[in-house]
Amino acid sequence: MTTETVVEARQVRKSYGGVEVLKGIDLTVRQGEVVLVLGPSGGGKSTFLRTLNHLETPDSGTVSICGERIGYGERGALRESRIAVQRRRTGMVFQQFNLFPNMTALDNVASGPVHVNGVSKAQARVAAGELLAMVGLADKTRSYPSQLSGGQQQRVAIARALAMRPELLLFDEPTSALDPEMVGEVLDVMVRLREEGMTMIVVSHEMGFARAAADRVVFIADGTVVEDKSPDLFFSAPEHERTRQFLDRIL
Amino acid sequence: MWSWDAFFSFLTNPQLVQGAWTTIWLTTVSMALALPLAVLVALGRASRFRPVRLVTGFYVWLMRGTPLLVQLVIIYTGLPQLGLRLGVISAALTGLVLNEAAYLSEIVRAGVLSVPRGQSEAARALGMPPWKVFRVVVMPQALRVMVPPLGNSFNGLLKTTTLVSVISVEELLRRTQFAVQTNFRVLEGLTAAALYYLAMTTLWGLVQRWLEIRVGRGHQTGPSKGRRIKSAAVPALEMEIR
Repeated sequence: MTTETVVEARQVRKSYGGVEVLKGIDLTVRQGEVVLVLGPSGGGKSTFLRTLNHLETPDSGTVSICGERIGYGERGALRESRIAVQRRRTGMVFQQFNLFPNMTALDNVASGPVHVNGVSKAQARVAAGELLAMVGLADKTRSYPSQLSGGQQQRVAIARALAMRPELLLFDEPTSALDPEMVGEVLDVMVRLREEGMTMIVVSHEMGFARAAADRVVFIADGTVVEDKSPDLFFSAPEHERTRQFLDRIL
Repeated sequence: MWSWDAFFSFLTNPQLVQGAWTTIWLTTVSMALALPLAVLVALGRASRFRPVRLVTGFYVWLMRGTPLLVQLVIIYTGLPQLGLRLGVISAALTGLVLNEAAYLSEIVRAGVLSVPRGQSEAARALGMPPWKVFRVVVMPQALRVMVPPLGNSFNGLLKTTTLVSVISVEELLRRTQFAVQTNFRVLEGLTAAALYYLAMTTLWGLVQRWLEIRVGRGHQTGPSKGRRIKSAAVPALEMEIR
């Protein structure tokens, strides 16, 4: 395994209205690693994930992606348009898919290359078609999101994120809004991405995915990283009482 | 007594046709100028900077709080006292645009607010800079919600233009009044004018229907594969706001 660091988060803190949601989180993720982030709801895991592409601005601490500090340049805080450039390296998949409802599946996938990279529409659509085929939706290119099932929409969303050729993919509870029978098709795609060497951070409660595809499990509760282990050790020998309580409740 | 002859001669009177044309272009030009201004005002009202919010808020409050008729007379007859002299058409357009933009800005604001936050987040996560997020993702979706109330405004404006007859713009109503003065057939003349307005608003209704289908792409209700698209307007926006 290569040792190049993709994500480096140091002492990330964030408060909302006097409540400290993140109390100094450290996380390092190397290239090709798949990290599953577990934890009770309200524990700060989604908020932390969103600080990694600066959808949430940390109050203090640093986030670096591929060695570049996110949100700050040599002269302090960056403007949103500069942060936008930094975000190209990071793809994100949301719980509610957030596909653009007025665009076909194909144009959703092409939207990043066209509107961010300035690729011609024709060229971007060809690449988008290939990505949709890769996630098993070659026959849905002309469908609008409203005509697709949840599982299909989420696979389009993954293809849309991949179209930007990101170094890192962030998944924010990608299967939580899906009917149970559609969870598998989305997880299958994620497992395939792992085989292709994609670096991923996944906030999810899918224990199956944890065992099958995660290199590490990071347990976040009360705004701190409580445990950071391989899946085997995490489930068989959790060190902390807090982790055991959580596992007792969900397993 | 009603005279069909007089009525039909009004209907085909070139004066009325010309007046109707003036009404149509006044409405169209006012709307076309007011809409971009309304987008700016709506953005201003959502600005991070308090002075910008205050100024745009004041503008909307002032324009919506005073009658257009008063605004028009001030612009055309009052401002020359301060040395600002506008032509009839410029004065009429200024009044109509400034007034209409204030109302439209509320429609734009509601439209923008109706787009779920997740949409702009998805666009930002892809790396779109703020203006792309607005133009590519937020605005097209806001438009879908905005078209019905905007169409309502256009319909209203077609008839509101009658007010500029007061500052002697020769639109449909004023032309009709001139024509009536030749034979004093008030009932026939104004009925003919009313019919013209009805024709214009009906025609607009068709245009609006087409626009709604256009901006409603992707918003079919149900899984039908067809091209028939139903626009799901936000009911609150459909309320008459004036």
